[in-house]
Amino acid sequence: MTHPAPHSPRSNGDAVLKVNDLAVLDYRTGEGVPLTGPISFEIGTGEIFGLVGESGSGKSMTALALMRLVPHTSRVSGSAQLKQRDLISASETAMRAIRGAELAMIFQEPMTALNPVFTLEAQLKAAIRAHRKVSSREARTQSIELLRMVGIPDPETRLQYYPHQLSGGMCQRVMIAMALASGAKFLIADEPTTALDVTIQEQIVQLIERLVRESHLSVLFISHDLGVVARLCDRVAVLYAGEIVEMGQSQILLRDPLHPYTKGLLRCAPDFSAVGVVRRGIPGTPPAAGKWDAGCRFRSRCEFAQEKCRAPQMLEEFAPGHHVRCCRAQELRGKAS
Amino acid sequence: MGALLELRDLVVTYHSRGRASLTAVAGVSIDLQEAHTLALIGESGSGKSTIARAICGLIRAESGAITIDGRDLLKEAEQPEAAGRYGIQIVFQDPVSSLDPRWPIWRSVAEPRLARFPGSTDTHRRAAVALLERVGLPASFADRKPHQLSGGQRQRVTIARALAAAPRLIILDEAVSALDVSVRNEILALLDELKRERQLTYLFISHDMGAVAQVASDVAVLYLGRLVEVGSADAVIRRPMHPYTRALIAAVPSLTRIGTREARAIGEIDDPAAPPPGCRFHRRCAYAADICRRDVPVEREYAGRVLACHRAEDIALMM
Repeated sequence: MTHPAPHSPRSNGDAVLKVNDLAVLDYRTGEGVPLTGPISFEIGTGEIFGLVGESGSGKSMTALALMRLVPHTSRVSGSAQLKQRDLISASETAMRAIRGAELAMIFQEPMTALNPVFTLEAQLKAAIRAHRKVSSREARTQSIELLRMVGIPDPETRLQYYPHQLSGGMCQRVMIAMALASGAKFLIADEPTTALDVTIQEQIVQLIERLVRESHLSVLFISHDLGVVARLCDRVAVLYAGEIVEMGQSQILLRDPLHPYTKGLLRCAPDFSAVGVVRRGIPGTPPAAGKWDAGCRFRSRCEFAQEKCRAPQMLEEFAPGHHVRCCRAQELRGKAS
Repeated sequence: MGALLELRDLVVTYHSRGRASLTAVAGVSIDLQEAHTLALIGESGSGKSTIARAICGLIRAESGAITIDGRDLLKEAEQPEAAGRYGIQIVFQDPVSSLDPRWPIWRSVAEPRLARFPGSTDTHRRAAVALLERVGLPASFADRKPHQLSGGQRQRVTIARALAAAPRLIILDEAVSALDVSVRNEILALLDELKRERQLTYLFISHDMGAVAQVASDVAVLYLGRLVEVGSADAVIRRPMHPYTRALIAAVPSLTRIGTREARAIGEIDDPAAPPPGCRFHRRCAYAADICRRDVPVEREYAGRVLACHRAEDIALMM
């Protein structure tokens, strides 16, 4: 079952990525333990799509599956078409050409993602020349251009810097520059601002927005932070225990959440209108991978759980473009959890 | 109720061979009111955690005073032990490295009591189990090892351990920052209950403004080792006056302001080893004038709070 990307402010509705029943299974113990999925979604050209979830929900594993970088003990099933090409069934050689040239990824800790013993120039040039035959001088010129594009002041001087000479925010800008060095138009950003101060987070968010606008980038933005997703993303999918429990336009989903889990997350989000009020979290902890319920996976923590929640729950379209996986969504609508 | 702990002109400097020394805390004076929660906020490099460590004696302060019960902790020969004796405990961000992986949970919780109170192993074990139950963990967890617990459960254990020492002040140094939001709020609720039940005072250090807004009674904003704004949580969070506080709060993506664009990029924090002259924030401040580049602003009472800003009156008019 696919959920076509609707028109959104930034996208014309043409899907650049179509993910269908994507799942990752871990085979370390012999039998396949599901690590995430199956999940399905589409991302439109020029769209910023948010994937929100807590630790263990499978959001990073989904990203790694798209990059085909899952641990060798696990297996990926389903399909993920990036411009008509299936990433899941592509050969390793084909994937090597796709990574960087069409699909790029940035991570949470920019400091550890850069090589500490090489200058930025060496690392940027290597990223550029991995896919294109250009002279060293041409690669240097392009490196300067890339650093300028991601807002690094005085790029000629900074090229000679080592990563430790840069702040966390600057490192993340360099990571973005390297990710886009080979012309990739699809960026997977896995918690790119989580390790940064909020003031710096806002700068990275603005940079991503600008790159989407100017370079026609499409972005899969992974985060545990609903606030930053609301700020940046056109649409959002909420992941719980390996499956999407709610998906829709971020403005609508966050104003009118339908799934009890989304409601719980929203209750915990920053709210400066009520200082000094401690709000309840969600009791209990998410089930570990492989210990997922055949029915609603959120059932054990849900205050609204009933007998009928023991049955498998389907992700259904509740309103145009707004999907929810909860058999009680209609009767609980508007009810705060 | 008065101040439980007073910091006066606290200065903490890190010295390292071959590099310029770094004054992480450059003269901070603040009172921790009894049974209040004082939140210390600011970006990385502002000196928040250094203050926490200086209170516990985990770093030697250069100068100033840290006074509790009329005694200056900095004058004690063994400051870490003295801090414990006066009822100061600390909970860190990472519960994994705070717990001995080889010990059963009850042993870690009993540790502060073993050192200070006589009694049989059985007594200590029973006390530890009671504390585990108080923080919301089943008694059966007593014999488990840390790796068998989730992050939130482990943080409950470190809170139980802090309680074992019968503390008056608990320093929570990014204690909920590594937790998922749904779990984080459960821990915040627990901390809130314990505070009321045991008349505890908290020093809540966090970069998480959402958590600060929920638990703080007072907020102190640090910038490059100096206080820029101190006041009630309501005043500082809902009506921030200092341009830095305003930028910090506006940068938090809030769901109550979906779609609005209040946040403005304000550049990066200056190098703490070479802080700018005058007001330390002036290079990032949209309101900076000549005086800000020249003179260090003094802390003064303004609009029901303490503020260190030359231009507070002008900025208030522009708001």
